Amino acid sequence: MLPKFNEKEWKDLLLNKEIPPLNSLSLKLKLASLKANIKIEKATLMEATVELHAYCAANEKLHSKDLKLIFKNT
Amino acid sequence: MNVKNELMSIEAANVLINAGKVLVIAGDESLFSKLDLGNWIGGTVSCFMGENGGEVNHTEVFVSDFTDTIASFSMKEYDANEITTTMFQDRYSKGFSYLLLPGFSEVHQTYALKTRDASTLFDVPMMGWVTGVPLMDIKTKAPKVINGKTGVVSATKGLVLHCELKEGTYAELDIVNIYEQRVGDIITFQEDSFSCSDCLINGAPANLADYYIKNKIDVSLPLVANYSGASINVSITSVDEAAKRVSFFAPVLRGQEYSIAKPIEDLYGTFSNALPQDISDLLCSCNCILNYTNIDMKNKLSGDFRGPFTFGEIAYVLVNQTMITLSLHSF
Repeated sequence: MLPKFNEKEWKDLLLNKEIPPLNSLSLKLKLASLKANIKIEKATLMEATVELHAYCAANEKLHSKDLKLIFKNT
Repeated sequence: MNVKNELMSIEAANVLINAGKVLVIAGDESLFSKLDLGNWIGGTVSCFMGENGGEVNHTEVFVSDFTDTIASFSMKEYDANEITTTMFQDRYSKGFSYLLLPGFSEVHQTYALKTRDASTLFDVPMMGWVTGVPLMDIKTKAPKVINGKTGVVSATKGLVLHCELKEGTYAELDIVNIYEQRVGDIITFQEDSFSCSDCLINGAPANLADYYIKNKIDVSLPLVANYSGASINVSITSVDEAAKRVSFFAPVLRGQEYSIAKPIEDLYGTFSNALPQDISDLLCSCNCILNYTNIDMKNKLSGDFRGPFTFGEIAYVLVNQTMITLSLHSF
């Protein structure tokens, strides 16, 4: 089951504190787009976290391997 | 490979069209008037990854036949106002969309610049390419798209084949990019644009054209941004010394950090080694015309990959000097 949006790994991903070697191109691009939006203040960290969580929830099966990598410690 | 992808005669393409097949067709503009109307979208290009390697071909068309892999489809045209709004809403949630954009058009530029505002962009695989013209005609002819349902030829509208996949399958996009960021100066931009004069280099104000000239940078090397592990290229169109302006084939974006690509000694060897070996799930692919020219792909194979060499590639976002692959998998 997908970890909740308030788990620290989501924020670590968006703040580059964790840089796992992701496989999925779409997840890489989505993440990069959200990071850029935070940087140029088009989105807050909270808004980006909610959007990333919603995206992964909608595509959980597709990104299952990457999600395991991101949440390897939980 | 799940899909027929090959260069064929007009007669052979018309057999598929008249059998009701769902096709994406690439070819020289003069050939499209000889095709029958049907379930196809087309775009102008005349350079291909063929069976015998890279080739310019003005007599045959390159056909990708998606009929057997899809459950349903729709074909639609979009103007610059619709391409990042209505178009995204028209996608099948369980499918993929194949987009053709006429090169150098407003709809091409709008798609590239505004996709960053579309929060749903990555929800459905969005593959495609920018149409072109023979390189010798680049200053005299406009790239086009052709709506196979109506026969209408356009230099201003984007055409999309929206495909719904069969139950239990999903499509996945990937890229083959031989370039990566070099360790060195970090270039950032303060606006999203297809050209630039002022930028920041390592955080300090600078002029990008001056930087290229002073450092004698090879303009065949793209600017590369690291998108969370994916190298995304922006190719250089020109460096205008007098105007102190650099133009690009795709936009540079605020919030991304760019570096000049690392030089590559053996371009073809590096490209060949980067190609996926297993293409059993492959639906289709396309490659960049700059890879054809810079890597010198004439008569050289792109592994088992076949498709058009294009004026910009779309893997959700517009990229350059990159090969795009679309694959079909089962859950």
